[in-house]
Amino acid sequence: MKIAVSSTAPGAEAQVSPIFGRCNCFVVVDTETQAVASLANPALGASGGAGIQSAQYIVQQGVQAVISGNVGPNAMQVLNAAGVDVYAATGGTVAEVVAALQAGQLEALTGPSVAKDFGKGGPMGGMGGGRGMGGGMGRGRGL
Amino acid sequence: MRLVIASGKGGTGKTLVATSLALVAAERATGSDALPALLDADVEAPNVALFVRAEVSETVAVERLVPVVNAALCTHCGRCAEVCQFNAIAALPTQTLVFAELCHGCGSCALQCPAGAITEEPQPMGRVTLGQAAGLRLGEGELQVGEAMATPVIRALKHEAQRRGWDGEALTIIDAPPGTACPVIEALRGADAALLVTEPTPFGLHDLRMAVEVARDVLGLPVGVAINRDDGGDGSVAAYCAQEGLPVLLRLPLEREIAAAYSDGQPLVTALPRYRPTFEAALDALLALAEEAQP
Ligand code: SF4
Ligand code: SF4
Repeated sequence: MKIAVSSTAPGAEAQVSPIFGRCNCFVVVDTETQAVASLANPALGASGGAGIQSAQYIVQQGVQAVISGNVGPNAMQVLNAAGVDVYAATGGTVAEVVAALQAGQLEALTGPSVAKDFGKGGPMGGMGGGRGMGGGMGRGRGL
Repeated sequence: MRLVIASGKGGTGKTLVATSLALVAAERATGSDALPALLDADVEAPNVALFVRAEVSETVAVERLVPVVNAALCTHCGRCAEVCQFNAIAALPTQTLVFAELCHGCGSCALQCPAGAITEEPQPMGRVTLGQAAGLRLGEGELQVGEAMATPVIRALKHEAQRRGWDGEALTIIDAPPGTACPVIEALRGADAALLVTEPTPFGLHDLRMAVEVARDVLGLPVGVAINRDDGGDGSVAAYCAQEGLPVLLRLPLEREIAAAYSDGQPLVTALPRYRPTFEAALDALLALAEEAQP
């Protein structure tokens, strides 16, 4: 089985990344041959749709499973549509989480674990921005 | 004559200024053919209607084109996903998924699909509501929740108002969305003058500079400034205006009563008529500024 792990760096000893669409790297492990391939995430610099692009890229690698700290809704939809199983891992190295998956210790994700744009920092690295939408959007009004 | 009330960020009192200016203009208008119009172009959170209640006369749907893939024709070549600059398409081995909320409607995918499997179909993205209140025409653009692009709804709002001749001889006041991005530029485009609302704080100054850059430097509009919550404290906004030669056309003090009227959904000139002369003077000054710049 081929498993893609979202990771913070290349190699089997890298830490699993808490995010999917904008993780630094994907490490693909083939559990039959023990081959390890580290792939740069092509969507890292995308201004939008990073989850979609990276999920499509992972599907193209012919993997059967994905392990990531979290997966957003769009990426989840792509992985589900392609029949790729998704598992959550909160920490550990690539090698450790792959072993945990094989031992049946990882939780399968069926829905997104984080909201859209979870891993998308602004140019300042923050997650802020926007403004409140308060004020009540009542419809019982003239216009 | 078209005046736009804008600000570099939300919450500075743009709507407060726009509604009171429009009401003052309405009081002055004579004859129904010259009714001034107030357009709420803050389409992500329109709120003018909370202050000025109107009879709705018309609602117009705003649509955009999104690609639809005909699965029977798709060969899964992946070209559409490749050409999409917005990652709105995932081309999978047996399926092609379109994420409409990311699509900018550029049409490239349909154009490039070698199998002719993509058609572009209209999808609702918002609406324009038109109506009338005492002495005032009202228009509101509203972006549907989940839609990302405000600009087409603002364009539709301006277009619908124009199509009905609201613009003609009468005055149009536009309450712009906050910020300095595309939606604001769309709201400002075609204006005769802009009034930039700010606060006398370092943040207010920063946002004012950005708004001036867009309205005056990029679009070449005559620009005036309104200072809201003016407690006489930080003089850096006034100093900046003096240095840049930007006239300060309106000052509103930091006053509990003003905030209370606003949170009650009452236009300032209705709740506190003593501010009427302030707004009349500001409107005159803004109109004069616009006229001066006319060719
Ligand atoms: S370009 Fe056309 S044929 Fe190719 S994957 Fe996209 S929809 Fe299918
Ligand atoms: S119309 Fe343009 S933005 Fe929309 S999916 Fe097609 S290529 Fe992407």
